[in-house]
Amino acid sequence: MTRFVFNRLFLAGFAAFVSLLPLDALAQANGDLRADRDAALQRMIADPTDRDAMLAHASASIRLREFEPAVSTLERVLDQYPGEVGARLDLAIAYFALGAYPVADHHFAILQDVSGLPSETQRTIAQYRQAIAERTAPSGFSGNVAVGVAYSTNATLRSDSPTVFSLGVPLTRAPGVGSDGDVGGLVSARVEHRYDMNSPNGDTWFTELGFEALHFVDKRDGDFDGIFLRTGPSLSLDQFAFGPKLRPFVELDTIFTGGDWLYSTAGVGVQFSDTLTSDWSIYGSFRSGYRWHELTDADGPVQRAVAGVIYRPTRDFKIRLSGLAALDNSQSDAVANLELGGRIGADYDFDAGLAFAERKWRVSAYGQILDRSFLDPDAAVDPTRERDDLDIRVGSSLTAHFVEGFYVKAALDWLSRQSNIPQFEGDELLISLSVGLDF
Amino acid sequence: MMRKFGFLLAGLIMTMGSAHAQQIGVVASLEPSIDGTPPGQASRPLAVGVNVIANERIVSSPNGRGQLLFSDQTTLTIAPNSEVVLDTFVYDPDRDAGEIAVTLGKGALRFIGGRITKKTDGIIRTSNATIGVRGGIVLVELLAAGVRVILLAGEYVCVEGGTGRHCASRPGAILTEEGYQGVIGPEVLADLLRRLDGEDDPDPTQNRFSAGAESVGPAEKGSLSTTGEEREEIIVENDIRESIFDDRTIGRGAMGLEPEPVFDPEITPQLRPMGILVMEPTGCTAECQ
Repeated sequence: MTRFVFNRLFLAGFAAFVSLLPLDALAQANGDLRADRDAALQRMIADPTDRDAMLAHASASIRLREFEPAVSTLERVLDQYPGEVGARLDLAIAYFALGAYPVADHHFAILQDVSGLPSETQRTIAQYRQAIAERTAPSGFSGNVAVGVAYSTNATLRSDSPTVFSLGVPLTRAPGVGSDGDVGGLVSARVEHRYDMNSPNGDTWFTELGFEALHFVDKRDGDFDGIFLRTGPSLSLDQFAFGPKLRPFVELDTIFTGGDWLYSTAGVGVQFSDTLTSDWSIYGSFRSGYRWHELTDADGPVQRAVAGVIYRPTRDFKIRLSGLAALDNSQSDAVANLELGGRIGADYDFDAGLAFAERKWRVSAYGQILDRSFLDPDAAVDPTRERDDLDIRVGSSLTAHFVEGFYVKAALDWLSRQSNIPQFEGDELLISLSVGLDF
Repeated sequence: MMRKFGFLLAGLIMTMGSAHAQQIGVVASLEPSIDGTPPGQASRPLAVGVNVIANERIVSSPNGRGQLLFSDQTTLTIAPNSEVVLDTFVYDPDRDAGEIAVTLGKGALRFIGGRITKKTDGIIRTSNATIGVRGGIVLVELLAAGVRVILLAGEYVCVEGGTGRHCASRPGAILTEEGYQGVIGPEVLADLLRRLDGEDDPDPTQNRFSAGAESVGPAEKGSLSTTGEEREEIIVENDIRESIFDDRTIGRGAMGLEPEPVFDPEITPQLRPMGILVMEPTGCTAECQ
C-alpha cells in the first residue's frame, strides 16, 4: 500500500512539474514577438533606412531564435553602417547559431583585429573563435568527467520480502538480511571522437567511450562498474542538413557488479534520427549482439529496439516519449527474458540569472514503466511459474552550469519493482550529488 | 477557396510582365548606385526605398553594389559588376508560401532566403546551371570556368548542370557544376565577402547597435536550422545509456534493458535461495504452493 501511494505521488509530482512549466506564457510571448518582428519588417520595407525598425526586427528574430531573418537585417545594418561593431558582433553570433562557422569566423576575425574594443568583448570573441575552431576541426575529442557522492536506501540490492521461494517451496527469510542503505562515491567519464568524413552533407564518424562506476563504503553488493564503446558513421539519408540520419554501429560493453565481472556484450546495430519540424523529432535504434556471462553459464544472443518521439515547444523545453522492446535469449532460464516498456521525460533549460553561468541550467524529470517477462521458470526458485516483474522508475535532476565547463548535478531516482515472485520485489531511492567538467 | 484563388491571381499578375508590373521588393541599400531596367522600359538609376518589379534587370557598375529586400524577408545582395534579373516572386503571407527565382547573368550575389524558401527551393539560374536553395544563405559567383556556389547556412543547396544534380548541406560547402569541391577557406571567403560588402572597417567608437545575440553563448551546443530545427545530440547519449548503463548505474533513469542488477539472482548470487540467506520453513508449504 505504501509503495502504491509512493508510486502515485511520484507520478503526480512529475505531472505537476510539467504542468507548472510556463508553456502558455512562452507561446504568448513568442506570438507577441512574431507580431513585433512582422511589424518591423513592414516598417523596413516602407523605409529601409529606418534604424529603429532594423534593430526591432533583428532583436525580435534573435529572441525567437530565427537567425536567418536576423542575418538578413544585420547584413543590411552593416551595409549602411559599416563601422558598427555591435551589429557585426550580433551578425557573427547569428551565423554561429546557424552553424555557419566559416562566415561567423570571418566576422569574428574582423572584430578581433579591431583595437580599442573592451576587454570583455575581446574575451567573448576569443571564446567564440575557439568554439568554432573546435567544431570545424577535421578530428576532435569532447566529453565530460564527473565525480560525486551518492546515498542508496538499498545498497545491498536486496528484497525485504519475508518470503523466499526455493525449488518452489516458500521459506521465511531470516531477519536482518534485507535492504540496507549506504553512502558511496560515483565516477563517470565519457569521451567522444568525431571524424569529419568530408562529405557534402557533413557526415561524421562518431566514436564514444564511456565509463561509470558507483562504489559504496560498506555494502559492496551494489557496487557497479560499466564500460562501453560504440563506433560508427552518421550518414545523411537525403540532402537536408537537418534531415534523416542513419548510423550503423559496432558496440562493445562490459559490466562489473559487486566486484565481479558480470558479463560482456558485442553487437552491431543501427540508429536513426530525424528532425521533422522545429517542434518534432523522431529517433530509434536496433541492436543485435551476443552476451558472455562470467559468473554463470548464461551466454546467449540479445536484441534491443528503442523508438521515440521528441516534442520541443520551445528551444528550452522538450518532452521525450519512447518505447522499448528487448529480448535476452540466454541459455539460462534464470536470465532469458523479454522486456517491454515506455518512458516519458522532460528537460527545461532556464537562465539562472548568474552572470558567470556560461550555459543555462537544466531541470529534468522522467517516469518510466517496464514489464519484464522471463521466458521459462527458474527451477532453482520456482519450477512452476515464470517470473514476471514490473519496474516503475521516476526521477529528477538539476544540472547547474558554471564557468569553464564546470557543473554541479543533483539527482534523485527512485525504483520500485513488483514481481510475481516476492523475493524479487523491492525498491531503492538513490540520491546523488556530483561535480563535473564538460570539455 | 477564395484564398487559393487570390494566391493564384497574385502569382499570375506578378509574372505577366510590364503591362501589369507589380512591385515585388524594395532597394534596401546601395553603394554608390545600381541601375534597374523594368521589362519594356528604359533603364533607371535605383535609390534606397525604390520598388523593384517582376522581370526587372538589375545591373551594378564595377564599383556599385546593392541589396534588395522582398516582402517574405528574402534578401538579395548584388556584388559590383553583376547583372541579375528578378524572374519570379510570388508570396502569399497567409499561407506563408510562394515562389522566387532570379537569373544571375554575370558577377556574384548573396541570397538570404526568406519565408518562401522554408517550404520550396529558391531558384537562381545561370547560363549553364540551375541552383536550388532551401532555407538557406548562399553565395553564388560566376567564374570563367562556371558557377561557384557556397552554402553559408541552411538546409541545402543543389546545383543542376551538365553533370547532373549535386547537393550539399554542410555550412561552407562549395558546389560547382562538377559537384562538391570541399569547404571554403577563409581567404577565398573573405575575398568574396569583400566584393559583396565592401571593405570592412569596424570603428570601436561605433557600438550603438545591439540586437542581443550574445544570449547565444559560445558554449551553447548544437546549431539551429533556418527553420528552427535542432539536431538532437542527446538522442545518442540517452540511447547509449539505455544500452548498458542500466538501472543500477548512478540512477540516471535509463530503461532496464538487461537482467536487472537490482534484486536479480543472476547478478546478485547471494540472494539466491540456498545462498547466504538463512531460510526457515514457513510451516504453510501446502497452502502456499
